[in-house]
Amino acid sequence: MPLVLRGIRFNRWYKNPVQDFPWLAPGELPGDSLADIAPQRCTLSVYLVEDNHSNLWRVIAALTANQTSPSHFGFALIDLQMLNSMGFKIVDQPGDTADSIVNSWHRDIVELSATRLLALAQTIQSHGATDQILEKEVHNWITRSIYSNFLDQQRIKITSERLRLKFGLPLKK
Amino acid sequence: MSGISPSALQMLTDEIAAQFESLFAAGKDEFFQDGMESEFSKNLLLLLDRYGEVGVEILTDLIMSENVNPAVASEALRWVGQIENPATHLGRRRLLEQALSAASAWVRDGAVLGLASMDDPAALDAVKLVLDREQVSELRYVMEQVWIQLQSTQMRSDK
Repeated sequence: MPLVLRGIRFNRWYKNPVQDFPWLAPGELPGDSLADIAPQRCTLSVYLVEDNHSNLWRVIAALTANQTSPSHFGFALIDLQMLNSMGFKIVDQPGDTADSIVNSWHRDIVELSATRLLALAQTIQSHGATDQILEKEVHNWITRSIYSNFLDQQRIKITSERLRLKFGLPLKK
Repeated sequence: MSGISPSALQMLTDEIAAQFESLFAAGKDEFFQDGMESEFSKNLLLLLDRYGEVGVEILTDLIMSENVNPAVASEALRWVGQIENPATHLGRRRLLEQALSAASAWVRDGAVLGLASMDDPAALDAVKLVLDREQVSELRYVMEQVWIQLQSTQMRSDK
């Protein structure tokens, strides 16, 4: 079974951030982490990643090409089967990136109540994995995706002139 | 700023510092996301572009005073590392190296990610020093990643 990827800010999911939140009980998450999985109309956007992470680079290249100024990229990975077994409802819904194949790996977690959202956060913390790809690697992956023609250049949303020049993209008017 | 009296220079410095403080105060209301510009980041880059080395010095004092919101300071440090301006490179690297020892893990995180973006192997010793004493395991992992990246950059530049 594949994994489910959600972009997060890595430092909001530190497990023992005692210097920033000394009042936090062991095992508790800072409330800030919930902001990373804030749903829109009770729906959360995620992407499927293979167990062996073989398509991880391509998903991250597509997601970061959707950003204004891609840099370091934090993410959480959760087992899809675990989410299914916990009763989370996951539906096929095309993504909105510049890579059409990555778009086919997009899913929505729907019908998320506040209680379910908290359960999702706790599942990420206790059973999921969080990680971060440094900017240099992210930029390598975007470049690789552009030169492999995986990314439709017209749909890349990067606005930073410095980065558009770096990736050989035309400057936006 | 030669030709300016010490009192006028102090007034000017105070005025610039007030602009940074105001920016940081406003930044507390923003939600920062990886790879996304914000009003805070755009205005920070404008101030650093306008005031150059003086701006970096004032920013250093502000962040190292630890009287600013750690999430905002962390975001600032990430962007400080992404600027490509040789004139302020050394000052920015020193700010990032100093901030590796901040009390807040979030600020230390922003500092090491800023150094990763800068990709200057001259920061290797500073990263190694804090890596060995970092208590937050996830942050130590990030520092290890950055240290490996800087080592790799240094090896390539030595060839």
